[in-house]
Amino acid sequence: MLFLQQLVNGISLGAVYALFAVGFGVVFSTMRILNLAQGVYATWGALFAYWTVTEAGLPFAVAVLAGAAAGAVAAVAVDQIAFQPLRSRGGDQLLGTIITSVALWIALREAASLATGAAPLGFPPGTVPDGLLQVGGVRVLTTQLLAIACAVAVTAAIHLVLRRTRLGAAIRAVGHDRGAAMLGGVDPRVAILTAAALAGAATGLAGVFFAAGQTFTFGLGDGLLLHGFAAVVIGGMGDVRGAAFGGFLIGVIQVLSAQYISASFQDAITFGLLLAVLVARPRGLFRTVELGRA
Amino acid sequence: MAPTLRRRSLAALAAAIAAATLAGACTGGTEEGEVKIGFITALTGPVAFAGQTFANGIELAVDQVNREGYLGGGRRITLVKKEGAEKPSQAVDQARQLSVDQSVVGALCCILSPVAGAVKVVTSDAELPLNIYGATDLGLQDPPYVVRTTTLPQEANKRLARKVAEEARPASVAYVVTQDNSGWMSQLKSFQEGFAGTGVRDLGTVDTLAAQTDFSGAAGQLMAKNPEAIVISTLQQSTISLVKALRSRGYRGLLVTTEVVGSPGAFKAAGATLADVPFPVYFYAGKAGPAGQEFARAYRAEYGTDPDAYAAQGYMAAFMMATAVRNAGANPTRESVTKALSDIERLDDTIYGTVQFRDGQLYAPESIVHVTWTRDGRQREWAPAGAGAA
Amino acid sequence: MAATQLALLFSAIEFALVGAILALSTYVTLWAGLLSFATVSFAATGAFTATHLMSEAGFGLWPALAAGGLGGGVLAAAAGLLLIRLDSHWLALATVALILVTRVVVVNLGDLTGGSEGRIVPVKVELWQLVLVLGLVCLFLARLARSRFGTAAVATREDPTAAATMGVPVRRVQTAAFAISGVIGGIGGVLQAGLLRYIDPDSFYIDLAVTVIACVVLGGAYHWFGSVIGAIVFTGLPVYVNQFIGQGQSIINGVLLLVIMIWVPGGLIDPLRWRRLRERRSAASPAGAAREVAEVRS
Repeated sequence: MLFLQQLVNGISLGAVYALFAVGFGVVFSTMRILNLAQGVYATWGALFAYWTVTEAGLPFAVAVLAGAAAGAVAAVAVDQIAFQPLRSRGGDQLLGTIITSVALWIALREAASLATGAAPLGFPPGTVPDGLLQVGGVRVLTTQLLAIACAVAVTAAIHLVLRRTRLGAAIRAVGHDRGAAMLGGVDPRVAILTAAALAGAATGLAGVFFAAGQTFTFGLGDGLLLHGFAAVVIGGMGDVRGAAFGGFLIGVIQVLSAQYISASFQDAITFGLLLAVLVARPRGLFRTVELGRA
Repeated sequence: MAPTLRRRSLAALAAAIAAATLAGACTGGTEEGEVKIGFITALTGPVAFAGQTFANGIELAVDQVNREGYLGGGRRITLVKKEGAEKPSQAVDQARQLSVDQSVVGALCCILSPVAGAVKVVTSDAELPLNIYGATDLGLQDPPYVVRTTTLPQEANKRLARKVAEEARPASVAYVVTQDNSGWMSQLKSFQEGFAGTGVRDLGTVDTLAAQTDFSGAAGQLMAKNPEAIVISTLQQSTISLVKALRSRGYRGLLVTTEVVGSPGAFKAAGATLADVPFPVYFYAGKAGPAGQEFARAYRAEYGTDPDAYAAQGYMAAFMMATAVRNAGANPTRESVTKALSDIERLDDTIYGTVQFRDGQLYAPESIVHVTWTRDGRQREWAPAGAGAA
Repeated sequence: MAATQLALLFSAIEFALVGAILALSTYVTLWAGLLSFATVSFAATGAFTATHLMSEAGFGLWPALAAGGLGGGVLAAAAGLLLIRLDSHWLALATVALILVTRVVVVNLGDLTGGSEGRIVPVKVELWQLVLVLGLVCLFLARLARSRFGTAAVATREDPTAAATMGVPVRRVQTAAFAISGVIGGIGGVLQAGLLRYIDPDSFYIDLAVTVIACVVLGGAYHWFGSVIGAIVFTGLPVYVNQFIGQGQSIINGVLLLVIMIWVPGGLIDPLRWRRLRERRSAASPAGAAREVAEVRS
């Protein structure tokens, strides 16, 4: 019973990592950018959702959308400010984009710190769905179910967009080879902006669901960045389904290792697995389609 | 061409540094009768919420001391504030900056025990007297250079545990602790000592980490033990998250915690889930003596809220430092302030009433009060009648 | 007051000197065409090894530096053998993972490292010692640049495949670069610990890794002197400016990073730009201009 309970807790935590990992994977596979600013999209998503319920008094559903929108806007802004100037220069800009993403990471993080007075925040009771489901002694919160459903839906939606639509084909083509994509009549700019917005929205959602159940601060995105990073590497970046699975896996590992081994080893196990996967199977455990190399 | 360019950019850099040095030199300077006290603030970083009310208390005390001419001879205290963000590396760097400024004759610092442990090495090296205002791990004081006005939560926790055992009578208790922080481990121990021998069954301890942000697993572990009471000895953010996680999963037993939830910011983040959760404080405006009442009135006038236990500790720290400066004579130096600070054995009519100092550590066990939040965000004295009514 | 400003300036210089040593450690790997964040892991290894030996075995600074450099070097050699076969992006990811794992190890080896509580560093580092060590490191790198290793490293960086066909042992050069980076990083870690006087797992973590990379790239990744200049700007200056600016300093840092990366992509010290400028001055002729266009680096 306890095992089932903790499995459910792990899956719902994993849903947050999965949302983050999907966003991270989309950016990495289409733009070849190791985006360290990704965590702050989640922070700003959570903040806008929080302000939506506390300042504007709107319901949680609106807050979720506001969080996703804030994440998308942040992602597009970061892309245009930090990545577009380097992209237009051409060539492999891995190093340059790492630096510019760091620049926006620390700037946006500090902005969030100033905006919140660095104080811990929490969604006031009653503003978040507080339902509690009991299935044979296993307790599940409505917010946990929402997070899981949202992660599955977003993963499926992004997967379908990438695989079944013309726009998705364009995004993947940009990931393969920008020159070839342009020859095929695709506007790479539209494809890149769409990819950034999708990634930002997914990350913003991760922030909202991460913040909904507890207190959070402007540093919310940092922890998410590291664990989401582990998830996306373990799951593989070529396919959003792999990234999502990596997220769920990390969540379950974290909760179960704290329960059955020791809280102090949960990060050791997660990051140890990360390094092991990188060395043994650098393309991730669940690589299905290999995207172009940089 | 290349050497010229390199020389030119180096020259520009040198000029910039020189300009900054000059600018810095113009901002400083000690006026006649001014006594400089260093203050390492924590207005950002992991405990910014508490850092703010500590700072409020310290500023209030310094304002009051200066207004009333407490030091005598027209002397005034000027705070030299340095933001340490309660990170060891940054705080140590700021402590070093204070140490090199010989006109600074005393320093106030530190909320987290590891930070205090790191800073005191630097200040003691520089023979700069330090008064720790918030760090709680046992044995941090180290006279003559390091004294501490932090009111020890360990004693208060022990008493709260006894009171809970005697009056609320839970059959069993489980604990949750921030396992990688010695301050919280020591507070956990004090709760366990309080419950020892009272017949309340100990169902074990769940570990959490300082960097942890998800508490659904910990809540699951705790509830699986099925305890009638849960003692939470963790960082503030963790404590609030745990209370939320437990209550939202339908836990109806008694939650007992530490002074960390006492600040108004904590209630704002937690809301009514904090109602009827007892915690011990050394300062509660509703039960304070005349000096404490006066402090609470001044604090409300200045900041618009009741002072919490942290504001009181900040106030007390600055007040003790001011007393030492006053006792140190007409021209206080690091040496004379160090001596005056470590010589203080007792202070009367403080906001805590009469307090004792033993080996550089403040004792005021008589002022411990067990309080709790009400649903509408006020504090009241805790009594078990309202316990468990979540 | 002037004395205080002077002391602050010295403090800033000390941090800049150590920052330069750490940046040079990263520079060595970039030299051989590897993007690695692992300097911080090497520094952590060096720092915690040395601090343990200083506290428990009474080591002085110089033996501690040797031990720290050895510790960093051993870790780097092992990591190099394991990781160098990865592609550039994946190597970068793996070194980030190495930092995360290093921190976890430091947290869980409480008896040796002080765990998450951290540890007081018993030995103090003086300015002249920092100057001496940095001077030695620079001297070493300057000689290395003129050695066969230097030529091989540059060839590897420009085009590993071409280098391999010309008979450059690419793997071996890269592994050696990793090991050298480890030794320098370990030494830098010991000195950083001596400056901080207190180290905990967060003393050597992502933010330091990011600062070090910024120093190298923005100082100029094509000459070792760039790392030194970068360290002055990004580790020394903040320590000094700190007294004037309170909140919002990170925003300024971020904007600075962004502006330099976009407007001065080659970094502050960029031998290639100098060469171009020199050629433009000396021969303001069509031929010079054409050469300039052809020289745009990818």
